[in-house]
Amino acid sequence: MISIEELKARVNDLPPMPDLALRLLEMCRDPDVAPRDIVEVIRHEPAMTMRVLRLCNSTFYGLPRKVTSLQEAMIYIGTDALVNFVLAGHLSPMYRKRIAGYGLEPGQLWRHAVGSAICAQRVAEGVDSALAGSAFTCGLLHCIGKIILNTYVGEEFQRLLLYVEQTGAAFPEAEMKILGLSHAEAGAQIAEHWNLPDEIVESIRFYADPLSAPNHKKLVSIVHVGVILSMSMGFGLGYDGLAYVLRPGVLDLLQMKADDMFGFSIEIHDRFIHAEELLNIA
Amino acid sequence: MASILVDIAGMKTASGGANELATHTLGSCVAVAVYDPVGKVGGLLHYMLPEASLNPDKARQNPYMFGDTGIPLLFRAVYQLGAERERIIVKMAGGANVMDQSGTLNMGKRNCQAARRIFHKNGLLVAAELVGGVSGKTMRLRLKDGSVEVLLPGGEVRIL
Repeated sequence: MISIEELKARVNDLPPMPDLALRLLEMCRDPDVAPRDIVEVIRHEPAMTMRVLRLCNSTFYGLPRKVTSLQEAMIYIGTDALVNFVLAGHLSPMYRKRIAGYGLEPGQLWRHAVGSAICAQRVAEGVDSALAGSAFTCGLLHCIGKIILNTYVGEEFQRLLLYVEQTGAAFPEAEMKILGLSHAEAGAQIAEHWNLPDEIVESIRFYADPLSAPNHKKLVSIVHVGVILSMSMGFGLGYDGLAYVLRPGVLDLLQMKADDMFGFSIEIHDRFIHAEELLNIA
Repeated sequence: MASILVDIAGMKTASGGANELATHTLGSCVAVAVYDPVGKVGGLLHYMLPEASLNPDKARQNPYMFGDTGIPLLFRAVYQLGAERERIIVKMAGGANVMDQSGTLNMGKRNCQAARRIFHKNGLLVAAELVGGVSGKTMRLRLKDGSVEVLLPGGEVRIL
């Protein structure tokens, strides 16, 4: 069992969320903030400005001409994408490491995070496009707790999988039962420690059981379906693989049919191929 | 030994005992391996979805994305390398599913059914398979002897 003190110590050990990312996350939620205000914030960070321009000129966006200024970049990719990119830059060094406890080689957890972000975004576009940017952010972050639980899961993964097999519970429930903590809960605590907005914390905590989410059921359900799709498409699978439950009622809540997911997966496949470049830039 | 990698929604063939064909990241996707021991000719297909009718335009663009268009092309491709139908050995892996009490999604199961329907219609038998479950898989076909290795997370290897 993992003690609260142990968890706290490990959360504190993680690199802090950069002010730039937090500030941008806040700004893009504020209706009074104009794109030029965001440009003003990034302009003072030359390294970030360079990376944003590289991103815009990557095949992921496939723009017809070269983007040379931040103003132009904002017009083409939008505020949400920009914020997600800054966030991805912070997360990728942590995510790219080998996460041996979950049976993930270097780069695999990053693949899973980006794959899930793309899937959640596509699901949101079909359900409520206003949530597409947030869905991407939450997809990117939903598995952050695995970085912390890594050491504990490695010793117990066979017991965890046996529990899943015998009870039909999802993997995070098995973690809760056997380790006293799930990666979803650990991830939510990291997000709280980083002062991320409530809907992100809630999405991480409840992504595997979205109907228990108290305030943001729709967004969390979108993330849930996105992550399930990402696993089905094989993006960064470890020991936990597809040992998750598609919660009954979630597709109804989102007014989706199962076949919609088949359709989405075709488009996601194309987007992910281009995102390989994003994986390297971030 | 050269390892030839087959991407998601891709298909490749090879001949000569020194080679192997491999594909990673099988979640609900299915990989079908075919092999003719006489010429040591093999092919490997990694498809994502069961039927081309889900998106006919995409199927024209990339028929390997779908089981019902990819599998016939896989066979045609190994015939071109000299494989003969009577000798072909078929193996498959993948088709995992998330747990879904209502059975509405079952992506992996539907992918497997697509292959079975084609094999049944054409009187082909599957020599060995490792499908379903909740594990992601990697599949390797060795052209030396037609053996298929399926790697599970954590390094467990099953020989088909």
